[in-house]
Amino acid sequence: MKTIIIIALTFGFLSGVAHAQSCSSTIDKSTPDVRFITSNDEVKDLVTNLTWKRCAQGQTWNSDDASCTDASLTFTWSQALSEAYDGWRVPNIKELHSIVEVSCRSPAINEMIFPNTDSDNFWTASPYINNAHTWSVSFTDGNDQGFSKSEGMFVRLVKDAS
Amino acid sequence: MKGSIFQLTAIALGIFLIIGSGGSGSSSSDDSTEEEVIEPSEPEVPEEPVDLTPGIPSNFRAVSAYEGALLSWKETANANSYELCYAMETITNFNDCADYSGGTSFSVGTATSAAVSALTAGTPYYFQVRATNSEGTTGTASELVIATPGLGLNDTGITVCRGNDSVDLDCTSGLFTNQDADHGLDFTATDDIDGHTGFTFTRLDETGAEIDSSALDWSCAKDQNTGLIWEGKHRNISTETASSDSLHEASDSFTWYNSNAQNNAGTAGEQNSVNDSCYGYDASNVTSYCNTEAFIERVNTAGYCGLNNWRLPNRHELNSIVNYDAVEPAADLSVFQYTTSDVFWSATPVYSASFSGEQAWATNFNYGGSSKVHKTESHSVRLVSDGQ
Repeated sequence: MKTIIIIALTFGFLSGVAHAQSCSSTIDKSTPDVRFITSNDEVKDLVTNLTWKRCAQGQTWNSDDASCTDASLTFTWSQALSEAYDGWRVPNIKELHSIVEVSCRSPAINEMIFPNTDSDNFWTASPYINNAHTWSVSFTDGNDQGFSKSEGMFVRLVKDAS
Repeated sequence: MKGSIFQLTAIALGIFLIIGSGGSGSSSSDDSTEEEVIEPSEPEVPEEPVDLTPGIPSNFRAVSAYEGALLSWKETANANSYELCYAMETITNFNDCADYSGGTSFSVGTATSAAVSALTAGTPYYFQVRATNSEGTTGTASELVIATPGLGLNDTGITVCRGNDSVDLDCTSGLFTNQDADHGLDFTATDDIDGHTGFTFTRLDETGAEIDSSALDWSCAKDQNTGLIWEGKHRNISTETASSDSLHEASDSFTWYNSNAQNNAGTAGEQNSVNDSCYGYDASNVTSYCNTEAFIERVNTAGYCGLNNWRLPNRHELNSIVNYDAVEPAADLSVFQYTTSDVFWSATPVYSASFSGEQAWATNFNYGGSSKVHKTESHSVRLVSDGQ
């Protein structure tokens, strides 16, 4: 007779990094691994045909263990927009929503694809049409909210797939 | 467990399987000793024939992707590999996969998910999966699912650039370049005939037939970017465009209810036996209740726009039709007539800090923002279909 013991551990535990992320098994995953094709510090999303930076601005890609090291930097909205280069740009609100993992929180993102993501607000490139705010998405739980453009927030760049 | 051999197997999601083999409960087990104590005269018990019949993959799902689809299913018994079949028409016999229009089958090994690419956007595809055992015997195919490949996300609708205040700005000016209105379909496809700037919708009549964009009344709208078909709403007020179909009354509201424990976050929601907030409500008839599940069933029974796979949109799908260029409502009224500046339910439960499963994500079409709403509240609904 065989004894089978199944112990589930978080991936964060395996890699020795303390993660607070928790996920639900009774909510459909919105960003399963099969959706993405990674290429070092970039990832192509097969659902949207967009290519994303796997690290936030300020972080450094570490190819040894596929992680993002260093701290994410905060930017005002104007500063965030000026981070754009070579086709990379700040995502609009629908684009940034598309990488929210609704079955997880803190952070609400697929951590295999976007490692070391801060559970905090990220800028979109979409201004409110009826006031002076700009839309942001919180990767604590995936909610969206308008903030004053002088607020400091994180930035993850996107570009159209070539 | 003394003397046991442990095998350690890490699988992709970080789950450890620790398989201990050896002892059958006794503390000092030695297999050869145990065998010796069996009495030689005891008749040999014939081994039960091992059933190697492959199981049927369950929870088979297809999700629309860019000119493709994502497929996932649950692992099943005796599966040595899985085989997929897709076609542009309904599949009645997996064995004949290649005979169907665009029929293609292939093995994906032991994976329980797959991405299919290079499909034709806007065309519904039918998908099926089956397991094969170690002897090459194929099992019964899964249920048939449908997805319509798309062309990526809808743009936001936003056509103006802004500086630090709420005044429109030249998009090329100084410190505020590279914002939303400077990029994407709203920048490159500004034709309003098929929807506000980058939106591209085809209007459908009650049977699902495409009708001209100049028509004054239509039933559903097919999104040419995402491949999704949306339920149109109507108002049965004599001063507005009338429809005989009160089932789709724009002002009706529903509680969130999903009895499927696989994806309701542990709380089915509110079946709503008391609120007369929708067409046809009858307190003595459960199927007439004003909850999302019962409403979906009624629309599917009616075969609205020739479809019977209507469902509640997930959060991302509902977000796709928000027009952030307008407020109260943040909707393209030239396509989605009578949209209320109200909260619309998504099918996605909220995974909250004090997780109780009692909330679901909704989109407030006043400004287009997300809301976390208790399932017991009554709100608007716009159903979606993957096509057929």
